[in-house]
Amino acid sequence: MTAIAWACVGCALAVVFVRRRSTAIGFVTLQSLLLAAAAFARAPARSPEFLVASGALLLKALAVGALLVWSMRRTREPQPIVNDVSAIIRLSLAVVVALVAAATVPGFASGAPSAEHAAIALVAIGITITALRRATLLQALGLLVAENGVATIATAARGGVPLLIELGAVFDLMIIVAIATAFHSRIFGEFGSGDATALKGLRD
Amino acid sequence: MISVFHALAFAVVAVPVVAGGATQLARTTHMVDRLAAIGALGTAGVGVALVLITLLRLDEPLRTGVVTVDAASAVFLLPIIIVGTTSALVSTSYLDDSTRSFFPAAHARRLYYLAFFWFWAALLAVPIAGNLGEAWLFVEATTAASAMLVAYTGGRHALEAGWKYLVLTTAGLTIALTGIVIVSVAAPAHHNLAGLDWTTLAATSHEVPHRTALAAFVLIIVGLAAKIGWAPVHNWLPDAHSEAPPPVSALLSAALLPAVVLVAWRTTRALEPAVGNATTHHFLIGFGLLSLAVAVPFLWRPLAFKRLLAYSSLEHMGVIALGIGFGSRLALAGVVIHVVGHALAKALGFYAAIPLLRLQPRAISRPVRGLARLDTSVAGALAISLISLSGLPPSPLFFSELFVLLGGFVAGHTVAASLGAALLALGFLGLIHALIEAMAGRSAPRPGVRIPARQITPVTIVFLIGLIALAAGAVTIPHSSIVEALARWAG
Repeated sequence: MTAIAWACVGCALAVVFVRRRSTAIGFVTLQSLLLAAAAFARAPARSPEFLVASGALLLKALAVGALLVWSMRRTREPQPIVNDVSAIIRLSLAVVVALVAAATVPGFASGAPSAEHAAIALVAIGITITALRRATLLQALGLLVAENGVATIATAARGGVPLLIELGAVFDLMIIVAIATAFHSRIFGEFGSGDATALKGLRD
Repeated sequence: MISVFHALAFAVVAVPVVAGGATQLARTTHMVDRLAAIGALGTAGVGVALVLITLLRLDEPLRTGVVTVDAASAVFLLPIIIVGTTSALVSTSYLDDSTRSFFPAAHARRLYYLAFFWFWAALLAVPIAGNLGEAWLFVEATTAASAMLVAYTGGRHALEAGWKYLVLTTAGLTIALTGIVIVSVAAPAHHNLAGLDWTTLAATSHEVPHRTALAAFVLIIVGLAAKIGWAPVHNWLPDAHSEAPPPVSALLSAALLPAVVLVAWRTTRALEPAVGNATTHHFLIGFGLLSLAVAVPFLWRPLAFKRLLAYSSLEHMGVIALGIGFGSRLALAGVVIHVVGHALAKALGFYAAIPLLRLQPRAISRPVRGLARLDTSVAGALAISLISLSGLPPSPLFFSELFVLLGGFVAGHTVAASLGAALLALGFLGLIHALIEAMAGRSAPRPGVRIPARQITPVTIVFLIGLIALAAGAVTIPHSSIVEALARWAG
């Protein structure tokens, strides 16, 4: 589990610096599939509820990945959305935020201390992606990365997390991503681009 | 009796869900509105019955792990019921005038009501959620249901507001979920859902190591703060409140924000044994003072009316945070009055915005001016709202703020209460200044514009009666059984 958790962190860091939306979606889908695979691998030693949760993680990975690809294909950007902050600075910031978060949150006796650090790092990197990336689809991917951090804790923890919370969180996330893609399409239609920097008209 | 209690707690969520679905079956606009009105009144009937039974059984609250209906539920349910019902009924007036929508034009009205009723159902579920995990799911569900309502007009600013609302509150709630999962994992007693019910959590949270519990507490409260709109994580609030349709703005401000405050309060109460009483209280007081300090300068600026109301929400959520943080019986009495009084006053202000925007379309982006000369019924509603929100006596918010501050002094939080008093005084002056400008300021004449009062006059009368009744009964509330029950629960 520890290796998979850190592989997920690697995928998250890739989303911080890649330029193409399709590549970023690929990395997040891979991350979600890795988590689902890890959950299935641990399922035989766990309760039947855990198997259901593993299935939900797989469903989420496939459904959300397909939805994002569909949304991306419907909204082809006339030109690439270039961030003001360079890729290397974004990556450095994400690493610093992840390290600080992982060092600040104490261990919580899940039975997998290294996976705990990776999970907290994922949540921090996800929020950083949402804050730093300009493309609306990439901002939505940041939320997915953060939620995958929570799923990492739930998968790695010895005692697990109540099934209702796991299923509810997965279901809620799928609805939120569906709504986010609807917003992305409307923003693209209205502004001619899914660039979040256009969304700065409301100020006091 | 318990079975009736259970049934009502279930029905108060189920009825608006069904009502939202039923509106999709209607073939005409008239039918959609009629079904929405029936659904709203049905939800109100069930909700009022649930609140009444709860008030009659304060010594025997319903706590099953799945459902918790206690004194705090009753206090926070009441504004959700009142504002939800009124918002559903006045939505017709707003929708009749709206020309474009986020939704496809042919289905816009029906989809508005679907999202509205499901948003309302999720809101009604929040104060009666029996455990931390369930409460989080319902709070997240409010985001899913309401984001498209915020962007309902589909205009550029509405899309911006809706996107910010969706992304920032979801990010906050993901942080809160991280804290919840940590609490769940960190103690064997919390590995199943029953371990996260409010009572069990309060009894077993001491099993979580102090540093871990503190980290989880901070993550949960900061995450929820992003949804409540407490400063400094309030960025979505002014935009969403100003761009959403006024009936939705009313529901966001008067019902959603306090409902999530209740989740934060219950979490604080449940994790106190592990985190420490002083830490949790200081944390809430900090959020309260910071929210007041951030809101007050904006109350002094010439803002568009709905943005002014949004910053006022930030101020008032700060007052509620202070009251909960002070924790004395007097402060809790202030919280009770404030939750209900703020809901009535704020919702009335947003309802007044429906005819106001017909009368002064520029009020969508500019301050209101000279309204008293243009339309007395709209001016009356707006004046009652702003006077009440400013805390001018005899507004119920005058009493609630007084009780919260005195409660702070009683609890020994002299510095925080003094700072709170100074900030509230500045906020009061800002709102009164805005009121004078809105009523008597110079405005460009718009000859020939006559707006039928329609629903605003009866709504103003009903809400004014509510505000007067609340003010008249304010002095008895610190000694009431509901505050007694709240004080017992809050320790």
